[in-house]
Amino acid sequence: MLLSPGNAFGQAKNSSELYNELLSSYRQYQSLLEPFSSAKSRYLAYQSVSAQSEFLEASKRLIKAEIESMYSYASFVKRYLAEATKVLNYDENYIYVKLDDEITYLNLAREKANSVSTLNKAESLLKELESHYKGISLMGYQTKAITKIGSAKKIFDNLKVERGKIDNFLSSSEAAQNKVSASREKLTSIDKEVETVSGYIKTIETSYQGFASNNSAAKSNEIWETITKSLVSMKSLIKGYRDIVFNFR
Amino acid sequence: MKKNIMVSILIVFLLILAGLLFYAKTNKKVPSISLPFEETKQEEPASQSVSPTPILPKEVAEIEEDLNMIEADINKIKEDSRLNPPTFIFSLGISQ
Repeated sequence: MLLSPGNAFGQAKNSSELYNELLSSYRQYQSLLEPFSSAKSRYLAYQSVSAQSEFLEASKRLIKAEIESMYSYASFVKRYLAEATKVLNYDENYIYVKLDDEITYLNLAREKANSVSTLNKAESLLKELESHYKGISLMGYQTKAITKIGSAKKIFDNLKVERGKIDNFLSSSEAAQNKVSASREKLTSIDKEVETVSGYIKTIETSYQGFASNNSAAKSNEIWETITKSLVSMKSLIKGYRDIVFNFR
Repeated sequence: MKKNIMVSILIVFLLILAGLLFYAKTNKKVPSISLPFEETKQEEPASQSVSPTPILPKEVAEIEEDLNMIEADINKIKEDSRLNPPTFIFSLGISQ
């Protein structure tokens, strides 16, 4: 499906390698911004045929570099998601498929950029790219959120298992009855924190449903803040569980 | 009579002296054999007495280990800013 040289030999690069490619292509893009601005200034100042031709060339170079950077970013996000999915057993195929569609479009856009012959065509290609990039950015933020949500949920599930183990241990413990009773009391009080974490997870999932291209950065921050709160609560759960278990040392 | 007693004391004294010398000689002359390997010190058998610290119940050790691993997982969760999309320009900036 993909026609990039990286995939031509079926050798999949890992997300870190793809991120390095993104850094390098984005640096290339940034290095073309200054020549583009200079050519634009000359074109606006002289309106001559040669200034226009020079500006068109600078625009085409910039657009091509922009497409390469977007391509690198989309490939990096796709790989990152694939690696996280493998670890978290997360099923987010729709993002994966949509990223594939965008990568296919960017391959087409490369051809389009080569055939741009006027400033108007360059402008309209940029508008087209903007619309696609909104979708790609949204998927980047969604991937960022989804992988951290997955990790937080997995940790919370593991903590629930530990709670069960402590419960079983207290039931079968032959330790002094007052020790067991005090531990049970503590476990019940800690359960309030379990509910708090459950609440955070629900909030995160609801926030995730509200992701849209016009609020993706804000949503991503909002989700990260709630994840951080849930992690603090989970650390406090660990502290409580340790306190109970320590009694039986 | 006196003479006999003196002689007896002398004989007893000499016998004691000879005995002491013989004892000293036999103790000194224990043949020392150099061993071709390092002599291992006989270790005292491990004390069978009860350890001063109580034995940790298996379940407690397991739960504590799990909690340590979970805490390590929490500490690994960091915001990955690499996923933040880079910014681009989407206009030539010449349309009036």
